[in-house]
Amino acid sequence: MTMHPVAQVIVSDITQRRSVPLVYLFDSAGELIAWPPASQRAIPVDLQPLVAMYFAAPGATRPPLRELLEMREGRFSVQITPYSDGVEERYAVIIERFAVRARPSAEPGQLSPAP
Amino acid sequence: MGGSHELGPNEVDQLAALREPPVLYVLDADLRVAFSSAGAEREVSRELDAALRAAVHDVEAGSDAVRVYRDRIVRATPLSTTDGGVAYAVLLERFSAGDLVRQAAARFGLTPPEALALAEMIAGGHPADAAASESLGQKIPSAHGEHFIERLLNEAVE
Repeated sequence: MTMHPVAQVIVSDITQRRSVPLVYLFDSAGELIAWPPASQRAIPVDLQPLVAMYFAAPGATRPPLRELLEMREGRFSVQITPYSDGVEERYAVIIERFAVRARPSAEPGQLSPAP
Repeated sequence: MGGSHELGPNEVDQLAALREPPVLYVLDADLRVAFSSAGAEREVSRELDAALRAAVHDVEAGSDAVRVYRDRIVRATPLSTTDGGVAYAVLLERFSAGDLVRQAAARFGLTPPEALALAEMIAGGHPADAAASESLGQKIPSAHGEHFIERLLNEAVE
């Protein structure tokens, strides 16, 4: 059975709106330990001040961070999420394009609270 | 030039409403979960493990690394690591097409079984109710339905 064209349109649109983000992983000292292959082991220049400021704080006082950043390519949502491998704290920096909703109604396909 | 953007109250609301922070899983080269962020399932279920692996296989195949499931969206991206190896970041977000299905049901006069069939198709499954699936196709002519859905989506998001 093939999917109804309307369902195809919905799925296609959701997929396009959820672009794959850039993900960088840092250790507790703020050293980059994993990065997108195309990034050549460096975070975007526009992101460097924010990341430097974040890791300048003591480890115990680094909460999750969420911010909008104006970058050369447009506006991006930046999240820094602490996580643990059971031994030490690590941090994921997730960058994705930020789209502003035109009205308060939920984005189709969005999650209940979020979308 | 770049620079930090101070959020106004409306933008804070927008950002909070737009997305919940995704749950992150980091898979090693053998596709085992090496790390996960807060909110992740402590024990990776068989279903979740299959979803994570499927997303990584999409990446390896060079195809679209965004998958829509019944209640979640899974996105994956490769990572280079300091030891010269490869890992994968997989992000999960909760998802529901409920609002859109409800609007389509109202617009096209879908019965509950037809709306359920539409929701099942969006989730990538096969509608259990074949009759509802067939009548859905008759009630929403393809071109008409696509135009309506696209308009809805464009109104909802800039």
